Amino acid sequence: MGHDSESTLHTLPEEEVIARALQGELDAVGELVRRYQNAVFNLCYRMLGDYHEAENAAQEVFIRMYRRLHTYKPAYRFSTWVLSIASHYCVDQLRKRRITHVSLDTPEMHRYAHIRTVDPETQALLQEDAETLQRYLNMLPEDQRLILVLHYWYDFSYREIAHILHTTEGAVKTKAHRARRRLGEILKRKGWQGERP
Amino acid sequence: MSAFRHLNAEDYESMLKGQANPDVWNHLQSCTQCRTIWEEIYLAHHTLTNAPEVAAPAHLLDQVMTAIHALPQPEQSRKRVWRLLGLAIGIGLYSWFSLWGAVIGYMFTRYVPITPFYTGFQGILALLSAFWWNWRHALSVFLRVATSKPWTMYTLLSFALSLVLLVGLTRYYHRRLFVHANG
Repeated sequence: MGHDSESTLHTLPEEEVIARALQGELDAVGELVRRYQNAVFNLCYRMLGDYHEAENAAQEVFIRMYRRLHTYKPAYRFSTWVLSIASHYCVDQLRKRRITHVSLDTPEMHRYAHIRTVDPETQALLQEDAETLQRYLNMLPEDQRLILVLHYWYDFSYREIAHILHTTEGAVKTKAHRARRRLGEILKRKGWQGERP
Repeated sequence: MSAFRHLNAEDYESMLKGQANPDVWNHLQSCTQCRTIWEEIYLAHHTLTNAPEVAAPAHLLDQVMTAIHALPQPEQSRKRVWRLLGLAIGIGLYSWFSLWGAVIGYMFTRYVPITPFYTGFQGILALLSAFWWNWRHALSVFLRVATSKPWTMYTLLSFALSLVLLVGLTRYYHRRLFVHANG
């Protein structure tokens, strides 16, 4: 299981990687983690609002993924399954915490290093926007925030979100509408001017 | 449209998807309230649509794999599960010890004496043998014998405890056994 094996795994279709992971091949598990690390981390960060907490949460989510891999049903997308684990974990954490205070006093430039920009000044502005948006997202109730995160960052349909949250499509639509409206009110009130060039 | 009602969540949803009826757009031109709501919803929608994904820290993959490698490996876990189940079964059998004595005594003598050697589970035999005759009587005999002495009470409780332990551990490790079957 060396470098060759890893480079082969990079090119394999997802089903094949999952099958190997189910046979106990840890390199295949690593490949799944590699493929979903950004998605899982982003969800954890958007839900928990804290970078280091999101890091710990993402690690826990992947350990759960590894332990429960045998329960995955190929009828659903693997991304849905993994992000469902992440969603439930984050909601549990928020319930335990009960307080959604987020400190953004110490911004870290590397968090948004992947945003392609022309110059550092614009990048700093974009980062500021992203962190401000996160602060506004944190003002939403956790269920509404989760729906927005799953819908906008992962393109999940309302039906898929309903499946993840064990609720009805209608309930998800209603909450999504309320969440958008509430976030829109906040953005307007705060004079949001995101989208800098 | 503007005359009959304000827009609802479905209308806004269809507007975001670009599938709204022209009447809905016309209504928006004349209704300030709905226009304000639409502006807020669109602002949120547009902002979220363009929000970037936060990248995972570079060391996350290594960190996760180190944690996974540190988990008990399938063979170790299987041994641990069987050890615990063995312990539970052992405790169960030990608590049944006096019952076996009573069974053997009953088989040879057709008599179940209540002595310090044969403790509470003579009651079970009494219950079983008398069940066909009169279950109310059998139950009362069982309860009387089982609760007659500290010895019998102890045996009854240890038997119940072993059953709870056995069922509990089996259920608790059930999933693990399946997980490790895949490993």
